[in-house]
Amino acid sequence: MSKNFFDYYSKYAQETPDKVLLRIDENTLTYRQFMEKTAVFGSALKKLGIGVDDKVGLVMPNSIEWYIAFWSAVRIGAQPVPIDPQSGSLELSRLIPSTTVKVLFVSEKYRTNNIINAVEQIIPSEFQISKIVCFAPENSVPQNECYISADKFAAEFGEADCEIYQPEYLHTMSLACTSGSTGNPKILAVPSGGFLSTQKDMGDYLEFKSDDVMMLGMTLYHQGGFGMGLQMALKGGTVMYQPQFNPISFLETVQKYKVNIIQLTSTLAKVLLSTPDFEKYDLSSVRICYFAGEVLPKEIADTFVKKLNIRVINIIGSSETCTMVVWDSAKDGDTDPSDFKKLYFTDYRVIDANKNDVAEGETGELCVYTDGVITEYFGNPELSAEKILTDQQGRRWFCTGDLVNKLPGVVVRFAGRSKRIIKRGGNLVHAEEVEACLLTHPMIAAAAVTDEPHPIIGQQIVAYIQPKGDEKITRGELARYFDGKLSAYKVPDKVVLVEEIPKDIGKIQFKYLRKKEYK
Amino acid sequence: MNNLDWDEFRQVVSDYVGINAAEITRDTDVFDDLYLDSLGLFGLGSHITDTYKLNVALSLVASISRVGEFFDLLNEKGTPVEE
Repeated sequence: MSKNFFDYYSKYAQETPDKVLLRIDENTLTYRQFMEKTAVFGSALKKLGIGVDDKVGLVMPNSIEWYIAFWSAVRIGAQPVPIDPQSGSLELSRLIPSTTVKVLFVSEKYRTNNIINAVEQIIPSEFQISKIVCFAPENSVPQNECYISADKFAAEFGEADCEIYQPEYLHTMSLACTSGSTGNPKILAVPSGGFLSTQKDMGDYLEFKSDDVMMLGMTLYHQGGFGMGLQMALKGGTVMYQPQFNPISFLETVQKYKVNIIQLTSTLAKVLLSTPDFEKYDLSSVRICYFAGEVLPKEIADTFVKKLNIRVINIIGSSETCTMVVWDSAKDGDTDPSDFKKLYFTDYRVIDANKNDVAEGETGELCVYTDGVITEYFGNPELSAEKILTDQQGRRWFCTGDLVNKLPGVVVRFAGRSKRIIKRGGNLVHAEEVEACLLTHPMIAAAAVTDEPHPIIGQQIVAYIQPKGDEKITRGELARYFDGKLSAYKVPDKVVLVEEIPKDIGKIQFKYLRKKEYK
Repeated sequence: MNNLDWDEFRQVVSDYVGINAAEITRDTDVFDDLYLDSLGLFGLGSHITDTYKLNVALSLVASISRVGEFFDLLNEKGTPVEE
């Protein structure tokens, strides 16, 4: 039988029980506590009737509790389903039935989003769920029998012992959610064995060690941020996240805990580098800066490599593929960080619309093989068939939607996205989802959403709005309307009122849009 | 000190966030009342610094939560953009 994640955690809990596995600000979870707490929450879930393959939702920000809830579900063979804690009731009303979650772990709030309120709007009135476990004070827990505080849940249902489920290689370990292009969520079935082997291989490639400390800028509830942290946890090291990204405390933490690996997006790096007295922080412990989620400009890579003498890794791919293809300053020298090569445990193809390989020098869609490629889009066989290709050896390949140019040798150069996806900071926003929400607004006759380059956040969301009559619709009006319905990061950054949205056979003609702007 | 005018400043904020300038006070919360997320705060920061042609460190913008703090930051620490 192949190894599973708990084999690693159990081993480290025996060898280094008091070592910190996870630190979030001053809150810590040691390897021993990890094993103890996942036993309590895992057994409590079991007592509720949750078993193998049942879905357990998590609407929680970066926290120790998130980690315990996630791994408690894995421990009993159930499937945790992390949901973005910025989600409003509209998003939750799609995700909860699509993912078929039976139990939900929630935090009280995240930033301005009152999570318990958002959940309470739809449960139990619209959906039935057996329990909603609230990591919140007793007086914030709704007075309804399906809501319970986490303390009470652990005390009433939990036990000290809980058997560890031994998954088959292709058993679905967890479901990861993306918003989907039309408001229908895409739900990724992450395979236990492949996800483990790919994360372990990447940790080996990066030469992570058990005495390393890694600090991540991306979040736990993002499949990428979670997976990159796991690469360190599988080595028995320490992983750190922030409740919310704060550049000054990020740098202070790196200095205080002598962090060896930092993980950033380009936007976060720009913010960090702008910190006054940046050069006064002692970053000499940092060996690797690990970029993902956004295009990495060469000047930022150069700052880390040449000025700070830190190895830079930039990866491209998607939540569907785990680790993918990389640019590595230690091996690729002065080339552009958007030129990627495969790793010894990954492979790629560049394909045309008919799924045939393109010739060298041509642009096509990047298709990636790793052992961790998702097995399916949960509940969506058509999309699974379109995006996941299986070769004659039974290997799964994922069509990423990234356009790349096939260069001579083994290099591909990132050239953009093939779909209408806006890359706002580290978030992917599907233009169609924002348009769908705009069209529910009573004063909007038509809407078209597109991107515009932005010097800090990469791309900003621009909504072209054709109002009904003479209505003056502002960004503020839309933000109020979106509040509680969609995540704050999907609110258009800029609103342009137009006389009409030009369409041809029903499709928006973006090239004519700007000419229609009101003067 | 850049001697910025508060009414003019909140009009610049209003132009970006699409909320009436009269509703914006020093205590207006950029997240709760202007409906910005952390990236939106950088977007607002870019708009303001472009308008005033002043530079201010992004990392200082990241720790702001109220409009009055933004005004003070720009007033006290904004440095002219070199043309």
